[in-house]
Amino acid sequence: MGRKSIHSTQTDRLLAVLLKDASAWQHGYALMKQTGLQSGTLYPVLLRLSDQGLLEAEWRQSEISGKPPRHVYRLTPAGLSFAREQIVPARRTTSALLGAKA
Amino acid sequence: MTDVPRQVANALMRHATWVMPSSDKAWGDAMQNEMQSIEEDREALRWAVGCLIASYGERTLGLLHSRPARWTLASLTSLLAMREFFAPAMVMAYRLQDQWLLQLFGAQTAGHDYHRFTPLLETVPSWILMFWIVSGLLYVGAIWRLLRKAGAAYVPFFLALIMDMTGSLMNRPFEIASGVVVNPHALVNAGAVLLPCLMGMMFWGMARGPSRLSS
Repeated sequence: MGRKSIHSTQTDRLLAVLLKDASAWQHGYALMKQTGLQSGTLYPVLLRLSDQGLLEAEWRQSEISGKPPRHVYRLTPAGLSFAREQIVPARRTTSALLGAKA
Repeated sequence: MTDVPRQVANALMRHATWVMPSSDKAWGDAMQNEMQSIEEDREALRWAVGCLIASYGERTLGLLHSRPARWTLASLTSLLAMREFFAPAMVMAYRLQDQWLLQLFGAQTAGHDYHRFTPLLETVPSWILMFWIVSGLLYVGAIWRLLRKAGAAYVPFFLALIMDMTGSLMNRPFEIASGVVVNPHALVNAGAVLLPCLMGMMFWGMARGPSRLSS
């Protein structure tokens, strides 16, 4: 699995959001709001994660009547462990840096 | 009547789904449907612009990972490699006084005559030629990596570019002192800088995650 190719700060931000409520399915727009990423950045990252089998996607009926079905996303079990590997050390580094500054 | 920003957003989104590679059609539809759930028109427009960029990005990545693109880039890089070996080969021919080779190399230059290079051929030190030889070898390495898909080919490519530029900068005082203008055509000189930069971007793009089209 070529994980190196998907590593970026944008990916980390998305993984952190997906990891927060790992069992929940999330819409693209909600992910954009939570990560602060633009759709032009978000979707390529989602595509790569899905390519790598780290993200699952499925269609869900929209809660608003008359609106087309929406794609929802969540991490796969492989995605969960990848996100934990990726995010936890990053958080530790950040905390260590903040601790060192204080 | 629908607002103008929403109409523009819809048009951009239609174009984005059209641009998206067919293997990613579901993702194009996902982006389009998601926009329908965005109430704010300007927000929808921003969404559509982003999706259009994403679609073009995916399409470009798909093209970059195609075999013709790889071979085209490899061919262009081989031209750069040949260019790097050209000056050292010409200097070598001059120092060996091989007239046949000198006539041959001279015919490939602006003016089609090697004699105008004589002052430079006499003064350019051998260590400068080493920059170009190493650069040429690095380009060959980049081609090998590119065609064999053996690691990031942009690394040797950019190293080659740095060596090439360093060699050219080091050679500049000798060019000025000898009064030789290697290439008098400004457009050719601009192209010689712009083309490798563009190729570097392609190498860089190819190193990004594989596109679905390549699988």
